[in-house]
Amino acid sequence: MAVLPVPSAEQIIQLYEAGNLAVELAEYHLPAEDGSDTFLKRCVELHNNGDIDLVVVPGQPAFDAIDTHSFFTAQQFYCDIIPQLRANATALMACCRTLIERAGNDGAAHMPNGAFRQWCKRNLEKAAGVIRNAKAGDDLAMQFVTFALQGANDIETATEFVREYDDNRRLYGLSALGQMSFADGDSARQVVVVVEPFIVSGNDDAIRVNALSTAFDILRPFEDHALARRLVQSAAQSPGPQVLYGLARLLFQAHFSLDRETVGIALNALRAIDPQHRGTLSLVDCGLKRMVGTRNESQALDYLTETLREGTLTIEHFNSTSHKLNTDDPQRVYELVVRWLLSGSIALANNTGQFVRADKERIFNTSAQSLGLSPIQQLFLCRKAIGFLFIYPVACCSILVSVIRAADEDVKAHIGQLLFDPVLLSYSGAARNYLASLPSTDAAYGTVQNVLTRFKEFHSAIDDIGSIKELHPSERQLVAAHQRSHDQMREAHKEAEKQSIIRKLVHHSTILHGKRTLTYVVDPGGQKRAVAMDLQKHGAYVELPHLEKLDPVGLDYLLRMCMVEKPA
Amino acid sequence: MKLIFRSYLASLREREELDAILPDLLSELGYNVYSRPQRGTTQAGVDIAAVGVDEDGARKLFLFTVKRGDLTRESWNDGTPQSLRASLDTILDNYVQHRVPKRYQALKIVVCMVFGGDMQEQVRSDVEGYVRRYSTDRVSFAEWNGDKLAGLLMQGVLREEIMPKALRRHFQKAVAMVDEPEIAFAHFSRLVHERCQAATNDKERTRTARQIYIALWVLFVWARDIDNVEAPYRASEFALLRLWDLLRPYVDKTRSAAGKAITAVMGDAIQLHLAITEEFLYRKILPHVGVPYGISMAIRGGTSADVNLRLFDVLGRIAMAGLWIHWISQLDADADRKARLSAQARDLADAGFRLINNNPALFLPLQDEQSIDIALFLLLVGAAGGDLHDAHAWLQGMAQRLALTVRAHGRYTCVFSEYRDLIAHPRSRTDEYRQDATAGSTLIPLIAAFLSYFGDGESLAQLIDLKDKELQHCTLQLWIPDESSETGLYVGNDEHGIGLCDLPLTTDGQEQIDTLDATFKQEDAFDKLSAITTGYWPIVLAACHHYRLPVPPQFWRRIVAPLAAE
Repeated sequence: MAVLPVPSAEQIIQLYEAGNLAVELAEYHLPAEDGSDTFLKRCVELHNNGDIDLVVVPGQPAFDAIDTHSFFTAQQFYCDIIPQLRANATALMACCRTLIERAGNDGAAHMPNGAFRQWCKRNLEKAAGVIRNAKAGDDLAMQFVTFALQGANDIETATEFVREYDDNRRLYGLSALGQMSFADGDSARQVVVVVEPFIVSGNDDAIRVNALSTAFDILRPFEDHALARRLVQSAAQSPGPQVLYGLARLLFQAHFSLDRETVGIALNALRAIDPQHRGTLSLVDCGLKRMVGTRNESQALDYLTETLREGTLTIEHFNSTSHKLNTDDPQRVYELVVRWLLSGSIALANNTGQFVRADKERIFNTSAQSLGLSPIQQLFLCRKAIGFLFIYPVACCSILVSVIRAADEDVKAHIGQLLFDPVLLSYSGAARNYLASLPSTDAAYGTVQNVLTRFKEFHSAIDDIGSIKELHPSERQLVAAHQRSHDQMREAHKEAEKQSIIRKLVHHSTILHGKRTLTYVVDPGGQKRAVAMDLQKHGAYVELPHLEKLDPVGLDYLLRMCMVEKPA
Repeated sequence: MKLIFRSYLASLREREELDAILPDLLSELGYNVYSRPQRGTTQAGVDIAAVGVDEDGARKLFLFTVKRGDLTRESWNDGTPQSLRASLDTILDNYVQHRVPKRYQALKIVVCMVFGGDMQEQVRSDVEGYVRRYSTDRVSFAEWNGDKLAGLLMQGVLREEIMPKALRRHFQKAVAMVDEPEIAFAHFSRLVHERCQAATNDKERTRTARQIYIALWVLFVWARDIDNVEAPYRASEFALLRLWDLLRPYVDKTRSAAGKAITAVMGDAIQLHLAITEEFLYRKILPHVGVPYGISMAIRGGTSADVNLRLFDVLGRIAMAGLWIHWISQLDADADRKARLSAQARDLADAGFRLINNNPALFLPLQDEQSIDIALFLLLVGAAGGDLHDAHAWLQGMAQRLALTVRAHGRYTCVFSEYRDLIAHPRSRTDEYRQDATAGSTLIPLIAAFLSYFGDGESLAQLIDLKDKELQHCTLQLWIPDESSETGLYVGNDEHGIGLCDLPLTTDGQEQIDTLDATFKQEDAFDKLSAITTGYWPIVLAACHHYRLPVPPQFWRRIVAPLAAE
């Protein structure tokens, strides 16, 4: 990106007169020695002196022609100069509108509004004119009246807009009030009383969400739990999608300033969330994440539990929350997994996998003692762990072991049986290594050792059988199976490549031979430069359950039975 | 070729194994065998007695005493009655003096010392001294060692004029590739097929039967040596069927010499087949059926399909072995032996259940044609007095698993037979794929029939529900022989028999039973099959097992239904 020298005033005028100033506005210019923006200052001066008219430039064809990236440079330029311009309010609003429309859906599109608000603050009379025009029904003025009201901090007129109008001006008034400064709590509460009726059900969804948002913006500096609860209660009555979004935003931005009951009301309303409304979902996810580790944590986890239980959403929709849970307190994750498994809800338990596969497989190094489970619940939990977490053998084993640590002899024997079949019969690698790693001081040591001994005996019996050549697949069959496996791996590799973000960002070369590469690249100066790279191996290891080969139908049947089993 | 025979002869484990081929070898060489070996007994030291022309052109009486392996100092004379010297003494003192049939008493006698290997040097002088001492004008001695026997095989039953080079090559390849059973069997079956095709008269049929039998022995012994009897197992079952096809023309001709000769070979071949089965089952499988997942893990396949296919194959072999033994027990007049054989058949049924319970993949076949192995095993259970409660539990589990897998688009029983299709099954979890994969079923009618025998309306209702909801398109069927089956069944021709389609499913199963009974009355070709009319019914089952034809329901209607009713 080139940084240009600052053109002289004459040059700027020339560019303006030639209709080419737009291009210059979209360039970066060298700052002055003191760090100030000389180009910006020079332009403002020329404009305020009447040598050029910056307000009309965005409406010129040359402005339309600049590319998107350059446009945002120009837009930033305007945001910086607008508060300093001497200009006609209508012309300036038109200028701002052009800049906003050209920016499209970009997150920074509405930045000129802020600049206009600043301009109004400096030009109160002109702001009053905008408000007057808006009252008179002028479209352009109505579009910008929010910022005029804010700039003028005209609470009374904004309140009047809310109270008196039933068109968009009510919304503009509401929006304006949310950003105003109130002298004290009482004056703020008086305005909230005006806004409150528009939160209740029966109003338009957009009005409700704006009113809710405004009310909480006004109340933010003044802690008033009772009023906040009343407002949320109103919003929670038959909420539309926008009100739900508003409640989600409220939790995200201000859950800490709400009391438990209010958070509960909001979360309860958010149970009605439509899975298609990704924005709201994402906001809820972020809100829940913020609640984890705070006094509202249990409510957040309750919400997650109840929402997932309904089955329309999965834990994948709450990525931020699950990541936060996964990286924080392991005991909390254990308790949540246990809770979901014990719930008997398939939809809920299906989500437990998310908590055991972060990085490498999770080991729950804990005991079920503190959970106070009955023997029936302990066994139920173990079968559920097998049903839902079977493909994560170490995590699954660690849950079973946590129960053994708190179980009586009878339950231990039952769990020992489950550890042997299907767990160890399926996974003689990682699961066995985990069990073997338990120290002799572990409360589960005795039971686990019995299981390992039994497994050893089982293997010994298998080894005694030796090779029975007659049973081996033929060469033809081995080749066919190998070919199929190879094809499957290749397909999986292709699919993984397709989904790889990195793959889309980088240049891809296939090296057929060698253990390092040497490539020559041409530098900007035209000189060739050698780039050497050592090749590294990378791979992934997945242990497939052995029973999937020995008795796939039986294993499937067992897992299904464990999954569908209901609590006694 | 001679090396193959030398090695085969040297590898024979039991004296009886050499006994087994010698009479046929002698017959093909022109000897008239009048005394054949009896299992476990000798007749005054003589294992085989025959009359033939000696190298000097004179007609003589040949008395054979047979020992296995090399002749060592121990096997020559270790002081036991089983030593060669003791046998020779008995022949001279007893057989030559008292037992030579009157019609051969004028003939000179050659006492042949037969052993599969070589005579060791340290014993040669003892033997030669013995021979010099006891040789007379009437009695002489001859050494028939492995080399001589191999030579006789080459110039006798397998000589080039009657077994052309091309066929010999198939035989050589079968033996050489015996550790690759599919290839070995392909060559062996080609050899057998072409020999049988060429056998158009009594003499050729008899010779072909003997050739097949001896070739099978050689294959077996070689396979046993490398510890893999898979090829001879398949080859022997195939050989039995082709031998039966050679024997068929003589079924009503009780006085035919060729018929008698082939019947004798058939009997020997059945024994050989059982010996091969025994080598496989009793030595390798049955000791381990009690180990959980033991046999499943021994399969060492890369896929669950390998495990499933092999397990049902093993179960089918156990069933066939048990049914053959049950059949032999029925024919045996000796009460003790009969009881022993019956117990052996029942033990096999019990072993089958241990195999099932310890290898749960046996609770649902992957392929519909595995219903053959299931039917064979159920027949064994019925015939040998196995545990019908276990059979019932097995079928209950099977119905349950079938319903689950079909509904869950899991590894349900499919109609595919290509290995590639089976390892990929289910290739897709769509209704369309499932319709293709379950286009027909012999398994469901079989399970339904047995469940109805057991009066299990609940499991039947489960099957009916499955059929009504997920398997409406599936043609439930069974197979019975028709008139053309007599010529097609034993040689593996596909174009014979009747498919009984759209069999009704009801909660008491009675409608299906009535349909079957009505069909049996209308189509009586089953009862006219030569193997059925002569009482050799296991041959029909062996054909079903080998050529993968559903077991005709006549078998289970007759054997199992009455037992279940009790």
